[in-house]
Amino acid sequence: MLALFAAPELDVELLKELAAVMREASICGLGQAAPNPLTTALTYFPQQLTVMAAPPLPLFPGPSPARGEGRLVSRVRDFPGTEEAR
Amino acid sequence: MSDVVRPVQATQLRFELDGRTLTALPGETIWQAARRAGTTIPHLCTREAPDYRPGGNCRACMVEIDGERNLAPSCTRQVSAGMRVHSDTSERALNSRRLVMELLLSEQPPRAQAHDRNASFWHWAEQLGLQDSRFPSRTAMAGTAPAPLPDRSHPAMSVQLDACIHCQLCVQACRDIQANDVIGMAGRGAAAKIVFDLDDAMGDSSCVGCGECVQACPTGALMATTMLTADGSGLLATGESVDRVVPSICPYCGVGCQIDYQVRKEQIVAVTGRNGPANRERLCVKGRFGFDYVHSPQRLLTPLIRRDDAPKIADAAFDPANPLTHFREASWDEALERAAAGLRSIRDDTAARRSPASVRPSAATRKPTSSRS
Repeated sequence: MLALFAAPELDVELLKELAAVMREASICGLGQAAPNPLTTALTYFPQQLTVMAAPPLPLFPGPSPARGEGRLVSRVRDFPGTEEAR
Repeated sequence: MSDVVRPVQATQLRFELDGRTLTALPGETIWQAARRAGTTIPHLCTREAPDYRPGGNCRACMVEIDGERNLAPSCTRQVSAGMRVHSDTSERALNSRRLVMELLLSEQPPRAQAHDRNASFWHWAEQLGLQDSRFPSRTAMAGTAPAPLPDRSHPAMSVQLDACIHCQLCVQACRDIQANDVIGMAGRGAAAKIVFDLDDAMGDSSCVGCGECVQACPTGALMATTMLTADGSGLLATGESVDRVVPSICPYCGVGCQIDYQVRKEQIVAVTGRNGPANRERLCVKGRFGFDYVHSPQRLLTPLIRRDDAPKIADAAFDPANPLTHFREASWDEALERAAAGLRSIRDDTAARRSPASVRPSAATRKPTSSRS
């Protein structure tokens, strides 16, 4: 999986396939949960992953959300590029 | 196991595999029950040989079971009554097997350069329709260790850990099957690897050379050196098998281990253990690797009788490669008659002198001998 991240262009389909097999075929829960960060990122921050060849975008553009200002999930929609990815 | 007569009782479990109703014996795994029914589920870390237990770590035998969230390894999962298992009919299971093989393939030398092009690993890659992998090799990444170099320190076996898939069959072979406990796993994560003793070279370790690991390895990471060419690639081309397999009995001690001689171009290239009552596919270093004498130019092929003009004296000039300076070839009849005549004359001579018996027979299970005292 790390080697796939090192590739100049991200093979999202292959990463998703790998994540699915890790979840289904791992021996223990650690392996089954290991792809969670990736699948979460692919679900909520796809543009952050697919434009990795360009200079990385800041994960939280602008001022960081103030404490207690709603859940993170609800703020994701405000990020540039998220709308068309959905 | 199969030679044990089991009473037919209600202890047989009915279950379903790909829509077929099969029966399993209590304690039997899905893999074993499927195998008895004629279906071999892909497997790498499980070896169908006496006394081996399934590894459950390679994940090449995953099946889907109704009502379970995840796939299950068929080699370790025992059958329970009413279980509905999907193997070749489950897209999830097939995808999982293929992807696991792809990951393993990405770390292997390509088949054309493989150490053992006909290893069971390549058989299953082919069965799953895979030639190469979509995954980049880990060794191609910056900052990772290069592929391990071959270890040729042992006179009879070669270690090529670039083909190792960490199935741990060799660990089981060394530790449980032969009780030598030389091979182990060391390191963690991406640095995990097979080691001999405390990461010694195989030739420097306490390895006794039984070759059980060579027989167990599914990839060619551990091989008899006779099965490799000088550049480290396999002796046999893809799909090529040895010309003949000759079942026999080990020529060394009296245990009587059963062996298979692997013959290629009229030369013995390797020996594998047969499932005989004395050895159950195991061998020791002599039976496994001590076969070069068969092709020795010094080997006797006919009986020889000492020439009359070459009296029996301590003669340092005798060359075993050219025995005809002192001996002549003879038929078995003539040689036996000559030996019998010698024994007879000793017996008659002893009787005439009324001295104690001077001929004493002794026998070994494999090499009948007689000695004169």
